[in-house]
Amino acid sequence: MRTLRAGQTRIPRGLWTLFFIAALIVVVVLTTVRFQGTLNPHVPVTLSA
Amino acid sequence: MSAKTVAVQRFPRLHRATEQSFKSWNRIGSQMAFYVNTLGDVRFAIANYKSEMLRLVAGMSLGVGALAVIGGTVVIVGFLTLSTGAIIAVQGYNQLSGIGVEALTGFLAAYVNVRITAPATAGIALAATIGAGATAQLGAMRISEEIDALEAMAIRSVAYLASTRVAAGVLVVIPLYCIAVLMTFVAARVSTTAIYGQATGVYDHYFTTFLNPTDLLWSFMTATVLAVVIMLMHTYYGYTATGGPAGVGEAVGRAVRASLIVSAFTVLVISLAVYGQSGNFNLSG
Amino acid sequence: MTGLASAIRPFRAIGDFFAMSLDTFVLMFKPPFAWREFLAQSWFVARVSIVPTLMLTIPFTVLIVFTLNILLIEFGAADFSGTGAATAAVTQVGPVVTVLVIAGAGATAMCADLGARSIREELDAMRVLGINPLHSLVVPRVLAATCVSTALVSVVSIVGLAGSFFFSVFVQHVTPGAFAGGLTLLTGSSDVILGLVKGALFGMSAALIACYKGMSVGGGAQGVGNAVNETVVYSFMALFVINIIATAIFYVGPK
Repeated sequence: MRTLRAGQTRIPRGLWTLFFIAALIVVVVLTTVRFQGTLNPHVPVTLSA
Repeated sequence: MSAKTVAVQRFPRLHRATEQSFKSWNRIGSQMAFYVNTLGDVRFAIANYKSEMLRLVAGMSLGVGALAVIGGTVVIVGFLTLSTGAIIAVQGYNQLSGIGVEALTGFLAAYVNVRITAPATAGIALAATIGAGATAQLGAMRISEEIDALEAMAIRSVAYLASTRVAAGVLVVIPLYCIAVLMTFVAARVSTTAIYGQATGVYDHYFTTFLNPTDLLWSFMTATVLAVVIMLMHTYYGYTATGGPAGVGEAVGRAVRASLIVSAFTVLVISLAVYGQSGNFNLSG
Repeated sequence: MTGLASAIRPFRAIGDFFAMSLDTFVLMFKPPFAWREFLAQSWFVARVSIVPTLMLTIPFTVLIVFTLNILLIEFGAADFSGTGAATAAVTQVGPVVTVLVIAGAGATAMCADLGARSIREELDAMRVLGINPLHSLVVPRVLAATCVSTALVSVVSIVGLAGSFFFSVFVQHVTPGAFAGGLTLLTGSSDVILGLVKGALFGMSAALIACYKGMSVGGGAQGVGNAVNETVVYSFMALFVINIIATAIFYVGPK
C-alpha cells in the first residue's frame, strides 16, 4: 500500500464524489417511490376537476 | 509538444474552467471522505475520548464565552422556537378568524408546529449556535497549527475533534429538541389563550385531538438526523480552514450557508418520505 | 470586583452597539457619501445571498405547501391551495428565509470582512489617516444590506409562489386555474408591503450587528471565529424579535 501524502485519501477523491452522487440518487429515488406509493388514485382532488 | 499542452495553450480560459470544475468535483470527494472517516471513528471516539465528549456536551448545551452569558444554546433554541411558535399562532388565528374557524388554532399548532416549525427552527438554531461554534473552534485550531500538533502527538485528530463533536451533538440535540417542541406548544397556547382570549378548553380540546404521537417521534428522528448532518458539515469546514484569522471567519460563513441549505433539504426529504401523499392525517375520525 | 466587571461587560457591549448605531445613522446624512463602496457592497451581499436564497426558499415552500395541501385535500378544499400557498410564501416564508439568508450569509460575510480588516489593523490605519471607518465602511454596508434585503424578500416571495405552483399542480394535481384564482383571497398588497418593510428592517439590523462585532473583534483567529459565531446568533435572535414585533404591530394596528 503506497504511503498517503497529506490530504490524500485511500480511494481517489473523484471516486468519492461518484459514491456521493450515487447515494443522492438512491435517496431521491427512494423518497419519490415512497411518496408516490402512498397516493390514493380514486379520491378526487378537487370538486372542480 | 503533446496534444494536451497545445490545447492548454490554445484555449486558456476553457482550460481554466475545466480545471475549476475538476477541483470542485474533487473537493466534494474530499468532503465525502471526511464525513465517512468521521462517522467511522465515532465508536473509537466514544470509547477513548469520554472526557472530551463530556466537556463538549457541556460546552454545546450551555455555551462558552459570550454565549454562556445569554444562557447558551438552550436559551437560544428555546427563544427561536418560542418566537416561531408565536408567529404561527398569531398569523394562524388571524387568518382562521377570517373564515370563522379560529377554534381550530389548537389543531394548527399541533399539526404545523410538530411537522414543520420545530424541526426547521431547531435545525437553524443548531447550525447557528453549536455548528458555527464548532467551525470557529476547529478553524482557530487549524490556523494556529494545533491540529498538526495533535497529529504529531499520535492522537487521531479527526476522531478527537470531529467524531466527538458529532456524537456530542447527537447527545445534546435530544433534550434540546424536547425544549424546542415544548416552546412551540407553549408559545402557541399562550398567544392564543392569553393574548387573543380564546377559551383554554377549546384550545386544549383541538390541540390534544390532533396531536399525533407518531408525528412527534418522526419529528425527533428528523432532529437527530439534522444534528448529525449539521455537525458533520461544520466540523469539515472548520477542519479545512485556511488563510489566517480572516480564513476562519470566512469558513464559519461558508459553513453556516451550506448547512442551512442542507438542513432545509433534509427536513423536506424526510417529511416527504415519512408523511407521503396521504400525510398520516385524518380530520374526521 | 472582577465578578462585577464581567457581569457589566454585556451591558457595556450593548451600550457600545447602540452608540455605534446612532453614529452610523448620523453619519448617513453627512457628505461625502461612499457611492463606490455602497455599490460594491450591494453587489457583494447580493452575490453571497442569491444562491442560498433560491436553495432555501424551494424546500421551505414545498414543505409548507405539501403539508397544507394534505389538509386541504382532506377537506375537499384543494381549490384553496393557492390561498394557503400565497399566505405561506408571502407572509411566512418570505421574512423567515430572508432572515436566514441575511443573518447566515450576508452578516457573516460582512463580519468576517470587517473582522479581518480589524485584525490586520487596517481600521486603525484608517483612523490615523483621519478617515472615519464608520463613515466610509459601515454606512455603505448598512444601506447596501437594507436595499438588498428588501429586494430579497420579493425574490423569495416570487420563487416561493412559483415553486408552490409547480409542486401543487404537477405533484399533488391541484387545478392550476383554481390555484391562481385563490392567490389573492387572503393575501393583499398590505401583506406584501409589510414583508418589504420587514426586509428593510432585517437588513439594517443584521448589518449593524455584523459591523459592530466585526469592528470590535480581538484575539486573533479564535476571536474572529467567535465574533462571526456571535454575529450569527445575535442576528438570528434580533431578526426573529423584529419579525414578531412587526407582525404584531401589523395585526394589532390600524384595521
